[in-house]
Order: sequence, then C-alpha cells, then structure tokens
Amino acid sequence: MFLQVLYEGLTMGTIYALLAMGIALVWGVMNILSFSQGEFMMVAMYITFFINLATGWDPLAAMPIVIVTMFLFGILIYRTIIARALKGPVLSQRLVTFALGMVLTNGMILLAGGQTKSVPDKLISGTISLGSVAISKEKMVLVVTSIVVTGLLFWFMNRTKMGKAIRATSQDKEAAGLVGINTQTAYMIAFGISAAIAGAGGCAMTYSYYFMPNIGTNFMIFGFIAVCLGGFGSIGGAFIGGMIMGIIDLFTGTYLSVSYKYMAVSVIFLLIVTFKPKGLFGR
Amino acid sequence: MRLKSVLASEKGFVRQVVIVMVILALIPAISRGEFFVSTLCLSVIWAIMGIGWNVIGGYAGQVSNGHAMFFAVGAYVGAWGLKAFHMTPWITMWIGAALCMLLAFIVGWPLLRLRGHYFAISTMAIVECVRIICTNWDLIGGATGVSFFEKEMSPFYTLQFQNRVPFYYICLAFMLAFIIISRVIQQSKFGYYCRAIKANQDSAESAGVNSTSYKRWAYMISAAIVGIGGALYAQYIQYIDPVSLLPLSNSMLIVLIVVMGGIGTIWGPVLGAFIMTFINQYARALFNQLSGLNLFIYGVLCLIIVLFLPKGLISIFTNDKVKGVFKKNKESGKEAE
Amino acid sequence: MALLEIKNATKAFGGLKANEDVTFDVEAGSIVGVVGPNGAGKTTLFNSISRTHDLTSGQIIFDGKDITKYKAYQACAHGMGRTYQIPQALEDMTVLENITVGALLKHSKVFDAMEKAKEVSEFCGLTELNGKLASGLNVMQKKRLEIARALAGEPKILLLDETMAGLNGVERDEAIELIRRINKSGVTILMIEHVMKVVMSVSDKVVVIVSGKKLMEGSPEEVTTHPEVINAYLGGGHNAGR
Repeated sequence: MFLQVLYEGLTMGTIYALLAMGIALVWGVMNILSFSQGEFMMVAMYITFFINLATGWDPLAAMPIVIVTMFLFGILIYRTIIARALKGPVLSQRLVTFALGMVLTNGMILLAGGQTKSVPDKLISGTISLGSVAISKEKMVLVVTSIVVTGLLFWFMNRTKMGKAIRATSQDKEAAGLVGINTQTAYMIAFGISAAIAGAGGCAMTYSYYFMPNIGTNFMIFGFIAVCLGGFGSIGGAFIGGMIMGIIDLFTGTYLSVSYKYMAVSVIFLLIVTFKPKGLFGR
Repeated sequence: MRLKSVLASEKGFVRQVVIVMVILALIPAISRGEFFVSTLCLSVIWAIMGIGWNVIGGYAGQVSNGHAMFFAVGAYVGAWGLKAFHMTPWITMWIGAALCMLLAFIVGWPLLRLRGHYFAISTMAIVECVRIICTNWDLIGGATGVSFFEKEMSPFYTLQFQNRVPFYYICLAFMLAFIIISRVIQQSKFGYYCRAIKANQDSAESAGVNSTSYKRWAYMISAAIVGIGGALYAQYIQYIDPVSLLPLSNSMLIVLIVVMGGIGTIWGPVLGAFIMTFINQYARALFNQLSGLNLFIYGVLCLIIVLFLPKGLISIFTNDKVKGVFKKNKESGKEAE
Repeated sequence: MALLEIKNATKAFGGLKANEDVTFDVEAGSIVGVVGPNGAGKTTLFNSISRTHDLTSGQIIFDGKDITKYKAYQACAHGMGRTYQIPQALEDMTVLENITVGALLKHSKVFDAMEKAKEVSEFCGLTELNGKLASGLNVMQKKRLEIARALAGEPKILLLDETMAGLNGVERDEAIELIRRINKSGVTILMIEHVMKVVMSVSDKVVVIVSGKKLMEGSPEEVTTHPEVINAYLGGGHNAGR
C-alpha cells in the first residue's frame, strides 16, 4: 500500500513538476507570475487530441509535433502580448496572463465544447506488477516524459549558448544586455520553451487522464505553490517542489481524506512561507 | 466651520460625486426592466468590492489575489444570520465586516510580510483553504450551499426585493459612503503612507512609516468593505455556495475590475465595475446558446484594456496627454498628431 | 554629551564580518565624515545605525536612548533621518508629495505637512520641481529630494550616504553649501563619502574605516597626514564586503 501510494504520488508529482518548471522559467526570467501556464497544457492536450482524431496517431508519436507547435504558439503569444505587457506595471503583466487563460479556456469551449475528452487506444497500456505495487504503463509514460524533459531543460540551460544567455538575463538584465546578449530574444525563447514544456506535459497527460477546457484553472495554484516551495525562479527547485506536492497530495488524499488534500497542500505551503519566506531552497 | 473648509478644499471631488450620483440615480428612469436593474445592482456591488480591494491593492500596493475570502465571509454571515436567526442584514453585515477585519488581522500577520508574487500566491492559498472548509462543512451548507429566500418578512428588513429598484438605491448609498471613505483615506496621512509603502517600502520605513502596521490596517479596512459587498450580494442572489463564491476567478475578477477601471484612483473601481459587469451580463444573455463566448469576449476585452490602457479606463478622462491633444486640437488643428 | 554613540558595532553576514568592533561618537551640532576605500563596510555601518538591519553585536545610543533594537521607522521617529547611496525616491509620487511623506512624521494633518514640505523644498532648492514626478528627476535632483524628505521629518541627526558621488564640480559645491546650511540650522550630520576631499572640507571630525574596522579618527588634518590612511587609500586592496 505504502509503495503504491508513493508511486502514485511521484506520478502526480511529475505533473506538478512539469507545470511548475514552466512557471518558474517565466517567473525567473521575466518576473511574470504566469496564470496561463495551465491553459497552455490544456491547449497541448487538445492539439494531441485533434491530431489523434485526424490521423489516428498515438500521443507519443504526436509529441514532437505538439512540442514544436506549442513552442511556436508561445513565441506568438510573446510577440503579440507579453512583450507589450512587459513595458507596463507588474500587476498588468499578471492580469494579462490571467485574461489570456480565460480567452484560451473559453475559446476551446467554443471550438471543442465543454465536455470531457480522452484519447482512445493508446499504444502502451496495461500494468506491470512488482510485488504489491501495480505500475500503470500509461502513467509510466508521464514519468518518463517528465524526466526526459527535465533532463533536456537542464542540458539546455547549462550547456547551450542560448540557455546560458537566458540564465544571465534572469540574473541581471542590464548586465546581460551590456555583455551583448539580446535580452528580448532571450525572453522570447524562454517563453517559448515554457510553452513547449507545457506541450510535452499536456501531451503526456492525455495518456492517462481525461480533460476538458477548464482543466488548467484547477491546477494553477498548485503549480504556483510548487514553484514557491522550491524557491522562486529556480527550475531545479520547481521540479523538487512539484514532486513534494505530488507526494503530499497523494498521501494526505489516501491516509487522511480526499476532500482535505488540497487544503493540506495549501496549509503546508502557508506554514513554510510563514517561517521561511523565500521557499525551501531559496537563498 | 470645519466641514465648510473641507468642502471648499474638496470642491472638485464634491462636484464629481454629485455628477456621478445624479447620473446613477437617474439611470433606472431609462428602463426599469428586470434584467437591466439586476445588472445595475450587480455593478454597484462589484464597485463596492473594487473600492474595498483598492485600499490594499491600489493604495498600499499589496496585490491580494484572495479577496473572494472576505466576499464569502460577508455573504455567509448575512445568509445564515437571516436563515437561522431571522436577523436583518442591516445588522449582520456589520458582524460580517467585523469578522472580515478579524480574519484579515490574523491572516495578515504572516502574509503581509511577504512581498510581490509570494504575497499574491499565499492569499490564493488561503482562499483555497476557505473554499475547502466551506465545501466540507455541512453545518454551513457544505457543497450544496444555502438557499435563504424569505417571503414572510418586509423586503426592507431582509433586503430581498422582488422589484430590485429600491435595492439598487440601497446599494448605491453604500457605494457613496465607501467612495467618501476611499477619498478620505486617499487624502489623509494614512493614504500618503500607504502610497509611500507602495512606491518603496524600505524608503518609506526610513522616512518613519511603520509599514507593517499601515499595511495591516489597509488590509483590514479593505476586507471589511469587501465583506459588506458580500453581504449585499448574498441578499441579491439569495442562494450561495462555495462554487459561486470562492473560485480563484472571483478573486481575480475583483482585481481585474479595479485595474481596468484605474488602480489607486477613486472612480476607477466604479467605472471598471459598471463597464465590465454590463459587458459580461449582456454578452451572456446575448450568446446564451454559445457557451464560452461571453467569457471569451470578456477575456479579449481585458487583454486589450490592460495592454493598451495600463492606467485603466479612467485615464481616458484624466490623462494629461489626452487632454493636451484635445486642447491642441482646439487651438490649432495642425499641431496635433 | 555625544548625540550618537556607536559602541563596538559588529555586523557579520554569514561568516563574513563587514564591520568589526567599530566605536566612535558624534557630538551634537557637528559634522562627522566616515571615509574609507570601496567595500570597507561604510554603508553596512550606516544601515546598522539607521536600523535597516540588526547588529550582530554592539550598541547604538542615540539622544540618550539605546536604539540597538529599534526598527528603521522607530529610529526615524526618534530623530534620525537618512539618505541612500542609490537614491530611493518614491517614484510614483511628486517631489512635494515625497517631502510631505517625510513631514507627516511631525505633522499628522496633510495640509500642515504639505506647508512644511513646501518650506523644506525651498530650503533645498527644489521648489521648481515640486509638481514633478520623482521618477522624472536626475540623480542629483533625487539626492536632493532624499535630503529634503529626511529634513522634513525634523531630524536631530541626518545620515548622508555618498551624497557627492557622481556630481560634477559645480553641483558638488552646491551640495556642500546645502550641507553647511543644514548643519547651521541645528542638525547634526554624519556623512559617508568616498571622495576624501569633500569630507575634509566640511567635517569637524573624520572616522576612517578600512576592512570593516575603524583605523583611526581625528580632525581632517590629522587624518590626511596619517601614514596608515595614505597607505590604505593607495593600497586599497583590503576588501571586506560592504
């Protein structure tokens, strides 16, 4: 039982982690609290769904397309909306992403209806039994995707020129500009990558979850909390924060009460920021 | 004597109040249609909440994303006061407001030390807790909520009107009171200190501002006003449940209304509330067969206003640049761009 | 009796000691300059005195009261005004409103505070800028504004953090003149300055800080001729955080 819950908790954690890393990237680089990250995931789910509907492709096969599409979608949003919002006050930036989320959710309701959807006939399905633990292969897809995405993200941020430029920009925009980094491009790419992460996450989630247009809003606050737990702006911290969230979520849900599990997450978060205002791993 | 000198120095504000109130008081003369008057009531209630949020979010610059909590507390106290104890909302709304202040005091103690996004996220987390408590606490109605329509008593006792025109005027009176309070705050030491905290907290501290105390008071006053708004809303809708009172979007809509109207201004919340409520209500009625379209339109409008008018719709009236352009136009048409 | 007494002030950030065992007095009515190379810990000392952060150990006595545990706003209320090295104006407020915030400390009616602010603004030569937003000022004007805001609170002592940095010759002379006038009006002044010359010309006493420790104190003449001071400035390699 314990191991089973731990496994489910880690699976749940990978979802939070994927969400949180996207939020943390945007927060760290351009100091925007992005309310639309959950909606980006939702859009990715529907893209996967439509690809499957039109061509019958499995979500796994569609994933590269979804990621690229979401990356371009992110760039588009950045060019049309975010770049402009960045010139305004911080609060406007936050509200713009909230309004964007509202537009995406309701746009999707108009486009695809408000009913729940799912992708049928997955390539990988069934369970593996490991002693007392039943491992669902569908959820394994999610876990593997999350690990691969996190790995790629770390590689990108630490090893590539663009990644280093983004990190430099997030630390000190002016200094980065002085040493010849095009901060506008760095912002744009960072926003695109954040959308691409949502793309990978959303695509993988269709493997084991139903979804509807307003799925993003339910997640939002927990994505934020995960980011805060890890200490803002740090991607590694966001990943760990997400995993912790998943484990708290499942353990309180299983051993205490399902109805109070989100409250447990919120209360633990509030206690942490009360006593450690910069997050668990914040400096 | 003193009142006279205050009125003299506040000539501009008094004139604005008179103009706006006369216009708002005369609006029901245009149409007494049920839907129209309901929308008016709702606009005024949102305006009250906007004015309340503006005290902490606009003046003191602490952007709370969790004011739905105070809205709900006000609504629940009003609802249960009437349903269980037959107490008139005229009394219970003050109990609700006091409870909101107490809650703000307790919650503000750890939260107001946080800055920026952390404060916003923490306020969201608190509302999430309140939402879950309300959903699971069967004593106060649980997930199904409370229905408390009272036919037996006088509508002036219950504030539940069949014809909502009197209710509109009652709400309007409250709004007027809060507008005046908002102005007094803005023009007082308290308001200056709040603005100083918003501009630069460390700098304000070294100029002698006890930021913790001022933020806490701003938060409490803000909570109380929003609580009254919630009490009025409860009697307006006569049915409340956690799903309609406590979603994240409610907290965000209060913020949106103020920002779209004009954050930190007296009339911004009122303007924002009226315009956005009317758009939302009529879009919903107009496109009721196309679910999602009303909020889609609402979202697009928010995007446009927030992006292109960062100081809100009110800046159309107050912006010197705009005024300047008009003046220039009058003086010499060529000079204008 | 001294107006301000710093006793064995030590401030550590983690393991790094930015100030160690600094002791000196500021006599009422005097101008005292604190000098030292970049990174000597002058601003840290200032922040400790103005109560922006807590001392690790030591004591600060101001006007007969032990203010070691005070918060910044309490220190201000007790008669301590300060400016920042990088000006921290209240950007969204006008010049007059900025000064009014300072004046509200002693005048709780906004009308009275604003009258006081107008006076101070004139004293500091800012009257023409009264209606302008602080965000639209240049650095020199912002520094003046900070002085004005601090003065509006009618402080007993004014702490000036690098008021002269970045000013040209004429502006510097104006600033020196302003400091003298403030001092004449009865306000004690404690100033940090990187530019030795300026401090020497106005100060009654100079305290030299190197690597977080007090090297010496004395009259400007004594300090400038002291071999260790010359060495510290020319060597300049002792860095101990800020």
